[in-house]
Amino acid sequence: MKRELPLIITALTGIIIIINYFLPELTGKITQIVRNWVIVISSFATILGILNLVIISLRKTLEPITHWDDRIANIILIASLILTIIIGMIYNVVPKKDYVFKVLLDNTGLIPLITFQVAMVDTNIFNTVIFYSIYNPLSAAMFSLLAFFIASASYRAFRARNLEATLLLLAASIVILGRVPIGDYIFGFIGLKVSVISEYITAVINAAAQRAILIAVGIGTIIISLKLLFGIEKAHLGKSE
Amino acid sequence: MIIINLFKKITRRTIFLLVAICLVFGTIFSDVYWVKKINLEILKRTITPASKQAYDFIESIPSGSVVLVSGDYGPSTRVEADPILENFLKQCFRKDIKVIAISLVPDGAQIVANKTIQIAGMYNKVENQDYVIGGYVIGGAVAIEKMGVDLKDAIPIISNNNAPFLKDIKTANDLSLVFCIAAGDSLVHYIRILKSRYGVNVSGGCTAVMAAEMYPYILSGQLIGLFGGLKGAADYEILESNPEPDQVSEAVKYMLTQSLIHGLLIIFIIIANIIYVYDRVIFKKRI
Repeated sequence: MKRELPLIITALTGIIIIINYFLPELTGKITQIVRNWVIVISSFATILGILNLVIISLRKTLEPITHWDDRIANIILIASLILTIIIGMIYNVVPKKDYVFKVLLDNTGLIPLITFQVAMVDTNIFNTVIFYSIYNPLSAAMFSLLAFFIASASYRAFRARNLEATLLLLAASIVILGRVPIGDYIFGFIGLKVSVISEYITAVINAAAQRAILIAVGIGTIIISLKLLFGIEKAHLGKSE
Repeated sequence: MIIINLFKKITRRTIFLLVAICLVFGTIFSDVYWVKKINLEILKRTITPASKQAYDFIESIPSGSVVLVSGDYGPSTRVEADPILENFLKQCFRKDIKVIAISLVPDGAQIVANKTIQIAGMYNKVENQDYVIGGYVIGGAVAIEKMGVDLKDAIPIISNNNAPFLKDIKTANDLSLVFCIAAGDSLVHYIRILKSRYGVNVSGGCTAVMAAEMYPYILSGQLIGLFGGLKGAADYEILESNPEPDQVSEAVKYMLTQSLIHGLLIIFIIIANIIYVYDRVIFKKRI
């Protein structure tokens, strides 16, 4: 029964949702309840995720074999989590609009002038300190590393090894140049509009390939869903004892 | 031969250093007048058809209509997504369109709320009269599905809001447009659920890497235009404000940095292939 019950619940829920798509009047209320359950469960999943993270980090911190830098990283993680939760609970996340006196440097004239302005800004400490001063730049810095890695990867990976690779290389190069003004600026002198070719590649060739992928993924999803509903696919239940 | 040997000495560190130089150079010189002028002139000539389609549709929405904007992105993609959100809000408030601003991701709620308040202030719009902030909406695709049945049930913060324009809004079908700015899969969910099932007009913007995936939806008419990446954001700024070189904001300015990095990528690709072809020719000759 340990495995049968989840299978029955999965099948019943799935069938209700499918019926609702075709006959919304018939299963409207029960579908609404199922949807609310999903939202409640996902909220609990967040709490479960936080607890799991804290337990793993604490265990790593207390283990004698953990290297000291890993230990510091775990302590910072737990401290940041607790601090964010406490400040978030005290100050809330709703923007607190307040008038502040600002000193500005006016560079528009020949001589820089110091000007004053009264501006309405968000003074909520959670938003200004935790979100905009700490989380925002850290998150942006992590993402911006992509520029460096993509440059390095393109240098090593884009080689004209065969016909397919050469076509990929050409298409990528045209799209790379077509998405920025420099492409049209350079090739504009010989009357070539790279942006137009780039748009053709994206809107025609790419769209055809994307559509094929989407249809294949759609069919695959239907098959997996049917396997789940009929209890053929049991991976989500975990390993049998 | 000397040049080839020089090319072969390019290491990962050299690439990183050159990228960093381009980034710094681009950021410093993006504010120079003639750079902005050239950028603007080229961008005005190369407006993406998908951007124009989205802009024209929003322009056709009558005053007083209600739209929902879903800013589903975090700080990591703000450079691309923020100008799209800003220009969308400017266009809505200029046309006196009422806005419901939400986010399906937790770290997008503050960004959307602050941007809405900031842009609304520029047009003297009042909260709960011209716009409402719905905050973070939990549930992702399930929440979108709920919007199709009962909008206020899906967005709990607005359920008790007495904004006059919310009186006649029962489901997503009562909205003139759902505009989603996505850094994840939420735009696809909006299309698949709200457009396909409930027939709601869906438009939006996304990061440049996602734009290619959206084209089948644009061509099928399920997605009304798209502002893709920083180029889409620059298109939107030009369409909405038609700025002079000294009036341009981030989206157009940052195109210089992006141009330099893209140019550098092409140079690296060319160098890599010169080395590859040269090595292959030499190798074959030795055989």
